[in-house]
Amino acid sequence: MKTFFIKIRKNIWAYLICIFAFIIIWSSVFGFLTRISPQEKVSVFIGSYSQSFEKAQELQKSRPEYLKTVEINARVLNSMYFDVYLSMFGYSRADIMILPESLATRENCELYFAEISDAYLGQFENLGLCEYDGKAYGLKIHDKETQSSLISCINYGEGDKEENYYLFFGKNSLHISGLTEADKKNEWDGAIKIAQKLLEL
Amino acid sequence: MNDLYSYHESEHLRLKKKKYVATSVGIFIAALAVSIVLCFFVTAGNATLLQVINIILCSLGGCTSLFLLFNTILPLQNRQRYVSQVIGGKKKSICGVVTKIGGLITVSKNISAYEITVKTDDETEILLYWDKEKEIPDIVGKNVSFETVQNTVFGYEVEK
Repeated sequence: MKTFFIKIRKNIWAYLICIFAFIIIWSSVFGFLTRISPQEKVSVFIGSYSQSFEKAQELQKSRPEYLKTVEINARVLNSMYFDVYLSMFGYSRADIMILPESLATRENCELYFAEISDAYLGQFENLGLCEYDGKAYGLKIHDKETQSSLISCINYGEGDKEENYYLFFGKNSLHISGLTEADKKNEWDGAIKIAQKLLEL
Repeated sequence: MNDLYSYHESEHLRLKKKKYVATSVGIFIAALAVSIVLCFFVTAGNATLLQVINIILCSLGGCTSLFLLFNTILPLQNRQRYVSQVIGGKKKSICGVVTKIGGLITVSKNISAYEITVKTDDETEILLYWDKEKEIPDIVGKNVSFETVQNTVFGYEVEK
């Protein structure tokens, strides 16, 4: 037995490399096998001063049946890599984005955010909007003047950092069919339902 | 002349090495095959368990194969190469009285040999190497005729 361990110790690096290689390989394979496709999940990107979103469990519970999960990415606005996270998880992948007014530029609205139909807006009569050229892109969820918020569990910043916040829908989202065709019944409206739940939180 | 090495030995080593290579590769492929089959049964509920099982299976298979490679296959290959070199090498005859059989030294990778001191007729002392794997007969103090390849004893004959 002693000889056995001596023999193993002689080439311990090779055994360790072998084990690490299999950990990496099988983690990647299982990550691929168990990945949830964009059709089966709604991604929410929150760019605020909150590092997490404490009502995530409630959102998970209230998701429509056809969705496997609701993915939430909460990133702090003044963190070093916020722009990278915003590009990776926000603009390109998120179905719902909660962002400050400074990011709601005309260019961003036209490029990344979906236009909200009048039919859908009808249900939010007193809600502020992010509009350009008469087209609505975002729903105001936090007003810094009145300090009123539709989603209470987000840190919107204090003092000079505080801004108005809007809820946007991703332009490429697969789950916003009810947004542009509010009068039609469509099962691909997971993001709309999640957004409504968010506004109730 | 009693020869210590033969082509038969070299062939025997080659076949033994082949057998271990097949065993080593077989163990690894079997572990990998079982892991791949398990992948077909992955569900959201058992994914983590199957992932851990696959990592353990493949690590065990891989480490066993490496253990065989480092401790059996490579030493066998070194020995086979050494035996082939000795068999195919240029032979030289040395005759003299064996004065001492010394300790072990490493003559090649994973090959150890005993040092044998031979005093020739012209009183010159020559150091020869006797493979550790070959049994040394009682030759100390006897007049022995050696056949050597680069100081490694290939054959010997005790003279009367």
